[in-house]
Amino acid sequence: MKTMRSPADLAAVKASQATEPNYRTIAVCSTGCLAVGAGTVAQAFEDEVRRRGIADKVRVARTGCHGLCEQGPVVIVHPERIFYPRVSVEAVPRIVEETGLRGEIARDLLYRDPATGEEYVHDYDVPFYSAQKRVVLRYNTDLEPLDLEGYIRWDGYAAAARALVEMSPEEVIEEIELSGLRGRGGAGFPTGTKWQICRQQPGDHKYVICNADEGDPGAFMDRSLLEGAPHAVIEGMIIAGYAVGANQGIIYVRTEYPIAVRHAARAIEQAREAGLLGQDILGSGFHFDITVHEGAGAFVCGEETALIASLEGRRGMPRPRPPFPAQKGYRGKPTVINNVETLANVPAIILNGHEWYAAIGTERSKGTKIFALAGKVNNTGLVEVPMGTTLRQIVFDIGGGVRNGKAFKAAQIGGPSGGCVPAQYLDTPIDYDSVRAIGTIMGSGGLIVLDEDTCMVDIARYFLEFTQRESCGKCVPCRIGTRRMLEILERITAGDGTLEDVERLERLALVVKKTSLCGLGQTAPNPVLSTLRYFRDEYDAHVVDKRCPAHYCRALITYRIMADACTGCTACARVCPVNAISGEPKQTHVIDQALCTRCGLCRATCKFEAIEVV
Amino acid sequence: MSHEHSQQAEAQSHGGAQQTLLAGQPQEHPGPRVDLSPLKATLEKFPRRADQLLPLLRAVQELYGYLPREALDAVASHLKISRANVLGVATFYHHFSLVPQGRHKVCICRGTACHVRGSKDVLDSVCQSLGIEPGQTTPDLSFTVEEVMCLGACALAPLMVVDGAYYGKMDQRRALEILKQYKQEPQA
Repeated sequence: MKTMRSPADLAAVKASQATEPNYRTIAVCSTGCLAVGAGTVAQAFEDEVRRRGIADKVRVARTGCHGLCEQGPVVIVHPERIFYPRVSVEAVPRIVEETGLRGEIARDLLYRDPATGEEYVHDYDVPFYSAQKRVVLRYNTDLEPLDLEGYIRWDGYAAAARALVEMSPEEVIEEIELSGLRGRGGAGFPTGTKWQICRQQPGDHKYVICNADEGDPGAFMDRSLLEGAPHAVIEGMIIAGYAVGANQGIIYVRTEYPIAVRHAARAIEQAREAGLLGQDILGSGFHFDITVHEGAGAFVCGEETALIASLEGRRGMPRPRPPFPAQKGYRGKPTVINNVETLANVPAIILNGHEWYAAIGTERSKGTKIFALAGKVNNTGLVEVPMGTTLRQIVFDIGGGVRNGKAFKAAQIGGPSGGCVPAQYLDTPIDYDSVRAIGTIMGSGGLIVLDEDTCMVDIARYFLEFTQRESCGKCVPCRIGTRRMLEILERITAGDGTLEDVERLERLALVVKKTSLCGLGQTAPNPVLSTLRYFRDEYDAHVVDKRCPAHYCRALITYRIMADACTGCTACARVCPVNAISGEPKQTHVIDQALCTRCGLCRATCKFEAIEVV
Repeated sequence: MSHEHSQQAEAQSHGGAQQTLLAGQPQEHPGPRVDLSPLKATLEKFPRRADQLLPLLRAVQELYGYLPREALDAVASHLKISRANVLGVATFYHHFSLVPQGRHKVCICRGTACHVRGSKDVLDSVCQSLGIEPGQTTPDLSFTVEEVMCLGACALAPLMVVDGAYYGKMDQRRALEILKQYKQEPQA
């Protein structure tokens, strides 16, 4: 692409793209779906198209995450938007021939709703997608992440052009403030206000940092955005830089996300070559450039002052605020730190205006929110909905309900900083303020569905294990408090807990919450407090009855072979790693409880469901 | 690339003190003897500034497969910062290892979604089959097992990654079958 030097150049590139394509595009999800073989499928499509010499009629696009990961690898054929889930290599020639060339529908390959059996042709009709509103994720199903021309065809960089050329920095900030955009990293601080504070600081050296250190276990929104639409994030950073008066941007991304690192770095190069980064962007006189910095595996670095310490080459330990980074941040200079999703919202707001944006969502939480829906739910994947959508809509309408017909027990929202929302709050609208009222936080958007087989005490223990390990050790309440809390929870799940332990745990949780230095420690007790609040009976069952109601905690369960179901096939005895199972072939087998480690391998192996947990 | 591999192999073949190779903890590490000659080129790519420490450590780990103590000393003198400072940073971040890693790296995701879908059982089975604890390396340096806090592919939980290849929707049996394939691989 030629270097663009003015908004007119940008418009010309868009115009050159605008004609209706005379070919079909087979879009294969090539990020998340890679773990279920999408790489091989995409390769098979490309080989098939090449082999048949039809590259002028059918193109293959390796796009970002489409969202319905459960049905991966997923494929959408454009422009008709014919949707095929779970595409195998064997299905490739047919999809190329029937849909790619002829535009026909391969009926037997279509998506069928697992519950109703209904058949769906187009992605936008599938309940998982039809109940969503995709503002930020709109590129993911249609564009190759590194297709800069395609992004421009979709009005990409038009918002940056408008902001830089037609608007003053103050006008940009006002627009963002009026839109009501709040930080998507979890705390929900108004983005416009943050920019305003940074803008007001004296000095020429300022920074914009994109926080892509998505460390919450169970969250993958930022990963999917940076992988699937890196140019939208870059455009958001350019606008942020212009608004606050920064010329340097940094994307701080988890090293565990290699595709996101690669796409971000390559997209920056593309933007630079096209004149969208660097000196005098689009003739506006504004210069801005971005570098990528990889994290090194420390959850606490998602906290902004710890992130800065890490960028400066130090241990990622937070410091007290104020001064806030917007006043004194990276290298001691005013620094705006925004989450990936926050930044990806910015171009749409500038382009469509704050009224449009503020019309989406609830009174105090505007716009959409992306959730990573996972756990014991049928349609796991990436979901973007207007703020204020209820949990029930997300879990049941979009998520298709709980897997294997089990009962919904709770939704864990906000990861290690959040809490568990029980069934009685399924109709609570999800926005910053409502979720706080029921004892959790919006967090970055991880939403894990828990069913009747999930032990809530174990969930609390699991998160404490995580926060205890990730505590940086700087302040005492977090360093020692999380350790003591974890010890208590380990005692309880091991069947050695007492009622006093439960009380001590609750007291300690409140102290850690009140007295820790940074967000990690202040929110670490939330999983404990919320499970105590809604599932105290499970704690009591563990300590009083020495029973795990969900049959999960190993110290409190027993594996038993049911004589009437056992066929004596010997499969369990052969896989048992501690040789705890004995029995002659074709005779009922028996587990020696003294040897059994309750690893569950026998139960996973048994074809006759003859092994029960009690 | 092949150069890097030979360095790694050499670093590993010197593995004399097996008890330190087994130890998951980085404190005690006489470690194998390390050839520092290729390090110079890596160091020179980085300006002598303290804020270069993390990227430099990453490059050193790419070179050797882990962070040998001698290399850390060289990093400290290159960046003109104290050795304590370098060690402090190297031990703070999970990404860095101060002990040699196995030829095959098995990462088992322990994120929330994986946890509620049984990743602990997968982890335990894999560790039991290799006779090591999470975070450790087998004495013959063939496998390292690591717990990772969320790889962000929660929808495909539980997730296992072997040498960068992702395996979704694992259970104990499938994990052990996959592990078997890597065990049977002819040794390079």
